Amino acid sequence: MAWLDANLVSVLNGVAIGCLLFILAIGLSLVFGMMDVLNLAHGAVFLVGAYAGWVVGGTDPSWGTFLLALAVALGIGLLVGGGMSLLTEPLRDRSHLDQALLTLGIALIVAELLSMAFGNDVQAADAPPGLDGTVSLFGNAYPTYRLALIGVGAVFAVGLWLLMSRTMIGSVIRATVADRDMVSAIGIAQHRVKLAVFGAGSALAAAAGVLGVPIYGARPGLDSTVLILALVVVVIGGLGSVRGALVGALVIGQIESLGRAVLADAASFLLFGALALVLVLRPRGLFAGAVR
Amino acid sequence: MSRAAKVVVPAVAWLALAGAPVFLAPYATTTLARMLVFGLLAASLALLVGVTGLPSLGHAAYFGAGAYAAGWFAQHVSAAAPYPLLVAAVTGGVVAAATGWVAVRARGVFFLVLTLAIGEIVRQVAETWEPVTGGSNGLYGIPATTLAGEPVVHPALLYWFVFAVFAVGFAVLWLVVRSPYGTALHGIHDNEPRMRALGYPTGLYKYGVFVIAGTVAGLAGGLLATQQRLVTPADLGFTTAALALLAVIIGGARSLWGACVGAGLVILVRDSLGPTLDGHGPLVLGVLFVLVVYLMPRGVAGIRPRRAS
Amino acid sequence: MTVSLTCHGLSRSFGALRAVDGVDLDVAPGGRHALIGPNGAGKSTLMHLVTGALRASDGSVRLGEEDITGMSVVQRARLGISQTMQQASLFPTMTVSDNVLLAVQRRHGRVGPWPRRQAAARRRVDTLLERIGLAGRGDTIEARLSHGERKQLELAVALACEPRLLLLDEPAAGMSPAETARLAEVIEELPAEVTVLFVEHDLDLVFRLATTVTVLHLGRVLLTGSPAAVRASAAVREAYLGTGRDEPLFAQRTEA
Repeated sequence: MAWLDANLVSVLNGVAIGCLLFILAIGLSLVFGMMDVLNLAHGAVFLVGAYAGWVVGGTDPSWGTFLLALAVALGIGLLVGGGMSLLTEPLRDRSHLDQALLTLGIALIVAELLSMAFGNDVQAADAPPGLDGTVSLFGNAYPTYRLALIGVGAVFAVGLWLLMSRTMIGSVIRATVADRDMVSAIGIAQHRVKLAVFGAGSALAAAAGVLGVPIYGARPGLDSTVLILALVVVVIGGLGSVRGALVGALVIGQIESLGRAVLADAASFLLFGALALVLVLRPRGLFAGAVR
Repeated sequence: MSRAAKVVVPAVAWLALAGAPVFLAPYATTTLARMLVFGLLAASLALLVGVTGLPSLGHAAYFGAGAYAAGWFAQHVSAAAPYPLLVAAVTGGVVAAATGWVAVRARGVFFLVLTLAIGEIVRQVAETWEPVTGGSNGLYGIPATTLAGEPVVHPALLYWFVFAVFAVGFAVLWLVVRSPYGTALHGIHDNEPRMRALGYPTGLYKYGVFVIAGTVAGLAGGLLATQQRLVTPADLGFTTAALALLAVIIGGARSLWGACVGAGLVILVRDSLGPTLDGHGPLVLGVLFVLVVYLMPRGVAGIRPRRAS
Repeated sequence: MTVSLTCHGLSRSFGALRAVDGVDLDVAPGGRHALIGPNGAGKSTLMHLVTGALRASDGSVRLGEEDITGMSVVQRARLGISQTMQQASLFPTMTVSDNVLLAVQRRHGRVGPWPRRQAAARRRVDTLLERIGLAGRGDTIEARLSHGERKQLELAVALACEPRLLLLDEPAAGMSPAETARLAEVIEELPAEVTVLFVEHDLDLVFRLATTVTVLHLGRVLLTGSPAAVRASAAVREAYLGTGRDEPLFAQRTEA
C-alpha cells in the first residue's frame, strides 16, 4: 500500500497516457488490420493536430477555443486521412516496404513543413479552465486534466465497443479485419471502406494531438516519439483489434510513466523487453484479429 | 552488360577509387571518404533488404553503436589501428545479435515495425547514457587513429585508410553473396516456405545475415568515428537509417555496388543541398522517398508483390 | 534405408469442418501408393499433415519407426520427406539450375558463407535436369518457364533432395499428353528404395503407376486396395457419381 501511495501519481499518469495512446493508436491499428496499409505518417498527423490545438486555442484556451481546436483538428485529420488514402491507392498490391517508404516520405515532408512554419521551440499550452488545476487524491495533488483525459478515454472506449458490437458499421469493420476480400465480394467497395477508415483514424490522431497539448505541448520530434509508441501499441495488441489497442496502450502508458519514474532511462529497455516478450509468446500480437 | 564489361567496369571503379587522392583536392577527398563510409553502411543494408528480403528501418542502430564503441575506445583505451575498428565491428555484431533474435521471429510488416522501434530505442539509449555516450552532445574530440604510432591526419592518408577498410568490409559482403549461404538467402527472399520444405532452418539463416550485416555496419560506424572524430545520436537515428535505405533503393536493392553508388549520390545531394535548406534536409528526403516509390513500378526492393489473399 | 509411412487416426479440423477424419493410411516401404477421391475429399489436407505444413488435430504420423506428428516442416524435410505442390512453388527470380542447386547443396554440400566451386553439386544439377527433360534450360529464369516446364522443375527440385518419402500433389495437372508420358517414365524410373505417395486426378496415370490406391471421401478413407479392386468397387462409384447413375466409373482402355 505504501508503494502504491508513493507511486499513485505515476500509475494514474500512466493510465492517462494510455488513454491518449489508445485514441491515437486505434486509427493505426484499424487501417492496418483492415486495409493492410502501414501508415507511418500517423505520428505526423498527431503533430498537425497538436499545432492546430496550440494555434486555435492559444496558450490559455477557454472552453470555446478548446472545443473549436478539437473540431478543427478533427476536420484537418479527416482531410489528411482521405488524402493519404488516395495517395496509397496505387500501391495497393505492392509490398509493405513500399507503403512504409511512401508514408514515411509524407511524414518527413509534413514534419519539416510544420517545423518551417512554427519553428523549433516547444510550444506549451494550458488545459481549458476548470481542468487546469489539481485535485487531491489520497493525499497527493494530481492534475485535473489528466483525470479528465482518463474519463474521456473511458467514454471513448465504451463508445467504440458499442459501435463495434452493436452497429452495422462495426460489423463491417470486424468482417473486413477478418477477411477483406470476402467483404468486397459481398458488395462493399474496398476503396470506400479504406477512405472512411483512413479518414476516421487520422481524425482521431489529430484529436489526440489536441488532447495531448496540455501534457506534451507541440514541438518537432514529437511525431516520431509518438509514432513509435503507437506502433509498439499496435504490434503488442495485434492488428485490427480494439481490445488489443486498449490493452497495449495501457501497458505502454504504464511503461512510459511508471517505468520512467522507477527505472529512469532504462525504461527504453523495458519497452523493447515488452515487445520481445509479446512477440515471442504471441507472434501476431495479443489479440490478433485477422484470420488470413 | 557484356561479360567483359562486367569485369572491366568494376576494376576501373576500384582503381579510380584507389587513386582518387592523387587527382582530387583535399576537400573532395574528404567528401569521398565520407561517401565510402556511408557506402559500406548502405551495402550492408543491401545484403539484408535486397538479397534476403528483410526490410530494416533501424539498421543505423548498429552503425551508431559501432561508431560510439570505436570513439569511446579511442578516447579511453587506445587509438591504435585496428583496435577501435575491431571493437566497432564486434559491438555492431553484438547489438545486432541481441536485438535481431526478436526481429527475425517477426514476419513481414512486424519486422519492419520492430526494426524501427529497435532503432529508436537504441537512439534513446545513446541520448540518455551520458557517462558513456556523452548524451545529446555526443562524443567529440575523438583522437585520431594511429598507425604504427603516427596519427593519421593527412586527408590523403586518412582516405586510403578508410578505403582499405571499406574494401575489406565490402569484400566480406561480396563473399557472402557469392557463397552457397548467399544463394540460400536469395532463396529465402524468393520463397521462404519452400526453403523450409527443403530442410533449411530459415530462422537461423535470417538471424545469421542480420548479425553479419550488423557487424559490417558496426565496422562502417567505426570508420565514421575515425574519419569524423565525432559521433552524435543523430548518427544512429532514424534519418541516417532512412538515408541508408534510400541509397539501397536508388542503387537497385539487390546490388551491393549499386548501394554504394546510391550512397554517394545521397551524400552528394545532402551535402550540396543541406546548407541552402537551412537544416530542413529531411524535406528533400521525404520528397525523394515519395518520388522513388511512385517511379518504381516493380516496387522498391524488388520484393515480390503480395499475392491477393 | 527404405521407410514406410503410417498414418493412424489422423484428423484435422477447421472450426466445425473435419477436413480429414480419422484416416488410417499405410504406405509400404518402397511402395507406389496413390490417393484419389472427389474434390473436397481432403487429399491435399492429408498431404499437408504428412509434410508438416499443417498440425494434426488428432492421430499420428510415423515415418518408418519414427513418430513425426509433432515435428516441424524443416525437421521432417531433414528426415527425408520431399514434396511437390499443386501450385508449383519455386524461386522465380533464380535460374533453373540455381533452383535445383538449392536442394542439392542442402542435401550434399556445406552451406557456408564463403564461396565454393561446388563443381560436384553443379554436375548433379545437370544430370537431374537432363533426366527430367530440362537439359539446356539451366540458365533460364524460373519466372519465364512454361507451365509444363515449371512442373518438371518442381519434380527435379523434389528429387534433388534424394528423399526417402516423396509426396506428389497432382504432378500431372495441366500437362500435355507428351509431358505426362515423360512424367510417368520419370516416376517409373525412381529408385525402388524411395517410397512414393501421390495424389492424382489423371486415373490412367494412377492405374499405370500405383500398386495400391486409397480412396478418400469427405475426409474419410472409403477404400484401400489394388487398382483393380478400386475400379470394381460400387462404393467408389457412388462417391464419385452419386447413386443415380450406373455406368462404369473407370472405363477400361485397351492396353497399348
